[in-house]
Formats: sequence, C-alpha cells, structure tokens
Amino acid sequence: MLAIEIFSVSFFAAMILNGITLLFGCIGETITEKAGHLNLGIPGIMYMGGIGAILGAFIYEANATNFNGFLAILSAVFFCVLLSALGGGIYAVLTVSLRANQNVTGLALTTFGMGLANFLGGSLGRLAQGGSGVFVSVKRTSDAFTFFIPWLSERTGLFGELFFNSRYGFLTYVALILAVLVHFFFKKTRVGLNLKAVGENPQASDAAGINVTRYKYIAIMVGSIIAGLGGCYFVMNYLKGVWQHGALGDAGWLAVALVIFSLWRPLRSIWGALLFGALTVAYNYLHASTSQQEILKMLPYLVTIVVLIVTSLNKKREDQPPGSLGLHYFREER
Amino acid sequence: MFLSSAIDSYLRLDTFEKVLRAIAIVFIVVAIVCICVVGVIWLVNIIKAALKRRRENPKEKSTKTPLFRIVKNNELKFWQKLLIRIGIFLLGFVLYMIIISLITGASGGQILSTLFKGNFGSSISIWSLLRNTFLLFGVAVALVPVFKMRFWNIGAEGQILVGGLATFAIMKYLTPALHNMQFLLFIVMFLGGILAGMLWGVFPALFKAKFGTNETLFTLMMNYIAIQLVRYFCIKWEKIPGSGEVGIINNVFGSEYPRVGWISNNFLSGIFGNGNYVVLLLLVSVVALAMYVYMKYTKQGYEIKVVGGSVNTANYAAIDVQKVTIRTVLISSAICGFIGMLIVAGVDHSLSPNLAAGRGFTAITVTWLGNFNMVLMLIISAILTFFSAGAKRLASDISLNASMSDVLIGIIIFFILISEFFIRYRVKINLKKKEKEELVNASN
Repeated sequence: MLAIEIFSVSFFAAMILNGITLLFGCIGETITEKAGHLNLGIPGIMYMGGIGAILGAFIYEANATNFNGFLAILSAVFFCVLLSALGGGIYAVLTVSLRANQNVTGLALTTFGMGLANFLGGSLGRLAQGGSGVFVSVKRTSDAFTFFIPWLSERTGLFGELFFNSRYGFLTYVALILAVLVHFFFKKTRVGLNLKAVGENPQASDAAGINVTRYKYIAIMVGSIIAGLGGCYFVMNYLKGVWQHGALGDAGWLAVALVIFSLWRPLRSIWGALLFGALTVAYNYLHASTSQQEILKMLPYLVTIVVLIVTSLNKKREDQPPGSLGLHYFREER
Repeated sequence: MFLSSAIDSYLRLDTFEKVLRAIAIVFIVVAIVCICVVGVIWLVNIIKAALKRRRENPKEKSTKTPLFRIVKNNELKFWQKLLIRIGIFLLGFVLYMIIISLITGASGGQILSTLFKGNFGSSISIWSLLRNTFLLFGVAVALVPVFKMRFWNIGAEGQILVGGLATFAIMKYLTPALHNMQFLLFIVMFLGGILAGMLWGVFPALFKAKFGTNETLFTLMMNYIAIQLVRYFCIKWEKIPGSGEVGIINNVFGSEYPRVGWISNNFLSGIFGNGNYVVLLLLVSVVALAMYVYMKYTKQGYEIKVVGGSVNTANYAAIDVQKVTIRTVLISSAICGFIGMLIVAGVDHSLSPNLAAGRGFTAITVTWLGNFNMVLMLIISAILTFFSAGAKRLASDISLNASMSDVLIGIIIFFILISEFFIRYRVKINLKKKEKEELVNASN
C-alpha cells in the first residue's frame, strides 16, 4: 500500500527546501535558548519575516522602473529583517526588561505575528488584484532569489540536480554556512562562551562581569532575525513568491521541535533539519490516501517526542537544555 | 466653534449611537485620568526619593551607576494595583483604536459602536459572547492546578480536541443504541471526553514525573498529533467525499435522531429565551467553583502549592511528588477534555480541527495574567472574547481584514503583560551612587 516514491529529485528538493526553512528557525531559536529564553514566538516571527520579504519585494516591484534582481533581494531581506527584529524586540523588551513570563509572551507574540502576516498579506492581495484578491505574488523577486551556478547546475547531471538545483537559492548555502559558523561561535569564541554562561547561570555570569541584559537582548534579536530569514526563504524559494493566508503552516513549531531534536547543537541541526524536512513532505510522496496522509503528517512531532524522552532518559549533562531556560533573571532576587 | 459643531452633530444622532458615543467619551476620559493619576503618583514618588537622598548626602558626585534601577514592589495597595491595571489596559485600548482608525479611516465612535454592536447587538451575539467567555474561562480553570504546580501544560488545545473527538465518535456510533436513554448517552459522552483528555495528558505527566522530560515541549507536540488525528477522522467520516467535513451530527433535518446528544439550548427558555447557553454556563461555573474549593480547602490543593513552590520542600514534607504531578495533570487534562465535550455536544455539534479555536493557547495567557484568581480570570476571558468578537464584527462592517483581530488581541495581551511589570516591580532613578560607599563606611 505504501509504495515508496521518495527516491526522486523532486522529493529531495522539497526535503531541502522545507528542511532549510526549519534550519533557519532552529539556528535562531538555538541562539535565543542559549541565552536562557525559550522563545515560543518563533512561529510568529517566521511569519513576520516571511511577509516582510513579500512586502519588501512588492514595494520594490511596484516602484522600480528597471527591475534589478539584486536590489529586489536587498529590499525583501531588509523588510524581512525589519519585521522579524520588531517581533524579537517586542519579545526582548517584555521578557528581559519587564520580566514577563516567557511562555505567555511567546504565545502572544505568535498570535500577533501570524495575525500581522496574514493581515498584511490580505491587504497586499487586495492592493495587487483589487477587492477580492486572496493572494499576492512577487514572482520576479522570487526568481532573483534562486541561485544558478552555470557549470555546476547544468553539467553535473544528477549531482547538480540534487545539490545545486536552481530552486534552492543562495539562502540555502547561507543557512548551511550559518549553522557551521554558529557552531564555532559557541565552541571557540569568548562571546559565544559568555552567551552560553548567561543561559546556564545568569547570576554567576553577572558576578563575573558579563552584561547579562545586553547579551540577552542581542541574542534574542539576532536569533529572531535569523528565524525571520527562514520565513523569507520559505516564501521566496518553496512558495515561489506567492503568499496566501497561513502560508507557512506549522513550520515555526517544527523549528522549535528541531531545537530539541538537535540538542541545542547547530551542526546536529543540519541533518536534523533534513530529516524533519523529509518527514514533513513524505506524505506527498508515499502512495497514501488523503486520510492516511494526515496520519503521516504526525511523523515529525512523534519523532520529537521520542527524542525528548530519550534525552531525558540518558541524562547526559551535555545533552540537557540551558540551565536557566524559561526563567527570568532579576539581580536582586536572593 | 469646534465644540458647538461637535455638540450639534452629536445631538442629531439616534439614541443608540448617542449612548455609545457617551460611553466612548466616558471611557476615554477615565483612561486619561487613570493614566495621569498613575503617572503623577509614580513621578512624585521618584522625585521625593531623589530629593530625600540628596538631602541626606549633599556632596555626592555623579558616577557611573545605571540610570534606572528596578526593585521589587510589594507595597502596592489593592486600589493602586487596580488603577495600574485599568490604566495600562486602557492605554492598550486607545492604541487598538488608533491602529484601526489609521487603517480603516473610521472614527473612534464608529469603532466603539461597532465593537459594542458585535457583542451586544442581538441576543445571539450576547449569548455567543457569554458562551465563548465561559469556554475560554473553563480551559483557564483547567490550567490553574498545573500552573500552580509549575507544570507548563501548553497542550490544552490538544486535550480539548481529543475530548471533542471522543465525544463525536460516541455520538456517531452510540446514538442508535442509546437514543432512548439520552441520560446514559450523556454519561458515556462525558466519560469519553474526560478519558480522552486524560489520555492526552498522562504521557507528558508520566514522563515528567519519572524522568523529568520537558513538559512544555512534550505537551506542545501532543497538540499537533491531536490536530492530525482529528483531521484524519474528519476525512474518514466526511459527509461528501473530498470535502473533509463531517457535517452536523444528529441534525434537526434529515437525520434519524434529531438533537439526540445535544446539550439543550432551550433550558429555561421562558426566562432566557431560545438559543441560550445556560446549561453550558452552569456546567463551567460548577467546574470553576469546584476547582476553587479544591485548590483552597483540600489537602491535595495544598500539596500542589508545595510542589509548585519547591520540589525539595515537598520531598522533605513527605509529599509524593510523582504522584501529585500525575494526579494534577490528569485533573487538568480531564477538564480540558470536558470542555472539548461541551464544545462538540453543546455548540458545534460537529468535528473540525478548529474546534478548540486556539482556546488552549489563549487560556494560558488568561490563567497567568489572572494570577490564578478566578474572578480576574473570568474578567480577562471576557475582555479577550469581547475584543476578538468585536474585531470580527469590525472586519465585516468597516472592511478590516479578519486577521487583524489576532494582531489586536496580541497587542492587548502585551499591554496586560506590561501592567504586570508595573505591579510587581518599581523603577527607581539613580541620581547618585551612595549605597556602596555607605557599605564601605559601615564595614570600616
């Protein structure tokens, strides 16, 4: 019944496109969690980043007389960063300075971000197509986002199709490089180690002279912007620049799940992202009825639960979440 | 000149509009007064403290201390807390109106009257406001014991869904057998709902208790499994192939057993009219009352508080933490399942992945912001329901995109969170650095 059709180029491409989206979200959330903040607003921030990219591209396409791909990308990324930084900023102010509960703030931010994205998307759709427009398309900018290395993409046959498919776009490689960089950032740099210390024990870091508030703010902002880029990547490369209501689906929650799966390690999250990407799209490539597909869509969540249980069972110290995750830090307490 | 024309145009409105505008004006005036009072009190305190310090140490030099210092605040009186809450909430509300009027160009009065019409315009909308408020409140009540225990159950959404799913399945398969004994059918539905909810809660609880598995993420994942499960059954049981919709069960028209298994909405129709939700409101109130008594007056409620306060203390007091954890989560998820049953049997009479409608997530905010106080939780539920229903009305009446309601709810929650900060902490402005020197002097 479940004949396998997953050994195809299109499956591989879909896996990469979904996986890299999650990788962006996961790297962003990892950085945030390393500072001791469980940001459940990441799904909302990814929506904001996604619509920011659409917005930037839309503004550019509407105003540009000579379409320049580079400027289109710049405009899209700029608005994406702007909106996701707005989301991260709200979260940071509320949880770091105002010491609001992280879970509540995060969930409210997700509601806010998804609402904002769908609102802007709907308004842009109406602008683009008159009264009843339900979607907005920025095809030209989306094309600019795709990346094409002349020799590698064309002449290398299956290898080129698998690894240098023009649908991936340059952001795919940016995400991979970012994962490696963040790995070294946490392992080798003083700032990275300080950040980890802040997440493990803010009291001790404060006593050691680390500016806890500044570290937390910067980590949350940077994490949010990276997660927002994931939204940009998804709408530009996977959805080919077409925004519809609820375009990103549950990608943000999967990104949060992936952080646990990867045990807060950026390198591990690369193959984790690919696995999650495969699990997310698998239902499309297995011969399953529509009802069975819904069951198959449970897979990434089930895998995450299994990982959660396994990591809590083996109790290895290096596999545990940051020590102060979810707790706010108030210097004058105790 | 301006005032007279404003009064003139006001007098020409019909009565309903007049009342609404009047409410609007009172509202805004109260907002401004509250904000001013809070602001003045705050500023006076700061200046007083600064002056006092200057008087004590006239010869200080300014050094590099941070300008703002945050200290815990336990001295606020009840009315001060209330004033801060109301003031900041109204500030959020003013922002809410400004945003809408910037987008749509509608005037403040128009927005207010639409908000009120959307919630109080007809008996249907009033009942739907009450119903949605109490459903949200019910979920928030379910979360009280677990949050008190510091167990972050964010899986209420999934627990509601499976509760609804079980109820629907029982209605679907047992109605033919039990349609003559509706009472029995209701009991089976009730048990099915709460057992399904408990099933969804027991795994996170068990693993948390035995192995310390992170419950926030576990319960979060359980939500999506529940959603997919409901989607699966929606397709499995669909009425029209390919639609993915199961339709109304035991429909009034075209089904063998009309209204069997439906919670009556004509209860005491002489007083409340037809289409009321009195039964639902009563049931939720009973649950809330029971929870209040349970938390306040029983040994188990006390144990929950001890475990929430400190697991070590609980261990020293010979409280079986594992048992308390599992028991409490089971109670919480059972209530969530019960709410799911209420939604399916009392409101929707159908099954869809949206039947929980985000209540499981919103309720987290309600419980936390209500600070486990039942009255406050009910008020916050009402406020959030009011604004989301009002925003939906705004969407249809003055062509505002429906997604805007989520944005506005988000803003309202942000502002309530901000007000919590001003209740728990106080910001001091450091004019001089002195305490350190004093300490040095004292030790010498």
